[in-house]
Amino acid sequence: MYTQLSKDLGFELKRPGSLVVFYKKTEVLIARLLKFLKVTGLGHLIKPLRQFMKVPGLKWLNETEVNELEPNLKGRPIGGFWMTTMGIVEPHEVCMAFAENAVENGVEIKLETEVLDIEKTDDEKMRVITNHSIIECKYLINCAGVWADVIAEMVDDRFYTIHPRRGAIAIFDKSRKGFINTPCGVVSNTDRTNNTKGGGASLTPEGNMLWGPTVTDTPFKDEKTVEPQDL
Amino acid sequence: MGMVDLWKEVVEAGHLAAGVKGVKNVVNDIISKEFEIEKTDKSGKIQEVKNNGLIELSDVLIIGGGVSGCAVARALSQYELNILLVEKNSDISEEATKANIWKHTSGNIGKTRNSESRIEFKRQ
Repeated sequence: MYTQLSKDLGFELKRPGSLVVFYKKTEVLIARLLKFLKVTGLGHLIKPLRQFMKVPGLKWLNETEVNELEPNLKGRPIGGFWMTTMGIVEPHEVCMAFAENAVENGVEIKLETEVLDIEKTDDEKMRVITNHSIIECKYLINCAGVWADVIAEMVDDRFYTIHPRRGAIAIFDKSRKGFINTPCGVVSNTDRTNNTKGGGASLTPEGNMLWGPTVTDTPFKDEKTVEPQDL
Repeated sequence: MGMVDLWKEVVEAGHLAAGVKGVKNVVNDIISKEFEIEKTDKSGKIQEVKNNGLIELSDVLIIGGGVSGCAVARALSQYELNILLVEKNSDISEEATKANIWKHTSGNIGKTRNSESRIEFKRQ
């Protein structure tokens, strides 16, 4: 989908792949089991693995291959799992491309327009009260991100609560270009209490290395603080 | 409803409720003594807008100019609809969309890359 979108809308998409590095024998054994399930097709019988089985371009690397691919990794990785088709985009650029194309097709975008309240009318329409005007619409689509629960509550649709989390990503200068060749991470730890969202080292399409993100629970939806310990 | 001392206990309660088998969404009304979240009173502004009486019409209104809102606007723009997108900031892509890493894998395998970020590099 994104290959076609990047051609149609003109945003940059690169596919450096994504590498998961193994430092423990158990991780290698689990990876081998996954490979067996993939090669034999038995993985399709296991529901949580079905999507994973459809991913093209998976490679299981040994110690030498990991070191050849990423010579700057510290320690002694004993294996790796490379998803060669993983792609990276610049999210801001993608959003701009969508918006530009939408405007070309007749969509109107109103900036600095905050929704204050929503009322339902008798003829099953909605009157959305913003800081500038009232907008009457037949259909309302809630894409308010971290504020989505607040918008939903305006139409008495209390469905879930969003617990915001803030994070920090370190961006390295382009002079470090080539330090890593593919975004790298280690095996998943599902413990929510640690202060990372996963990720590890990543890349931008322009070649800057990114490190992070961290993650910290915060009660404030608009908090964008970065603290020394995040770095 | 209820009150606890720390914000992390509020979050923990939400996660505990979400972890119960069969529960899909949780409305968490617990508040913490640690932080007081102020709710701004918008009734004056709402009344002012109502008094102005300026009404605009649209078939579809999209709230939020992040990547989801813009993608939905683009997808719907192929139909003959009057579509309006509202964004509270001075530009689109100002919040989570702008400050994120985006990786996309064919087949969308989800959380396979979640990690502790324990990976380290050799010093140069």
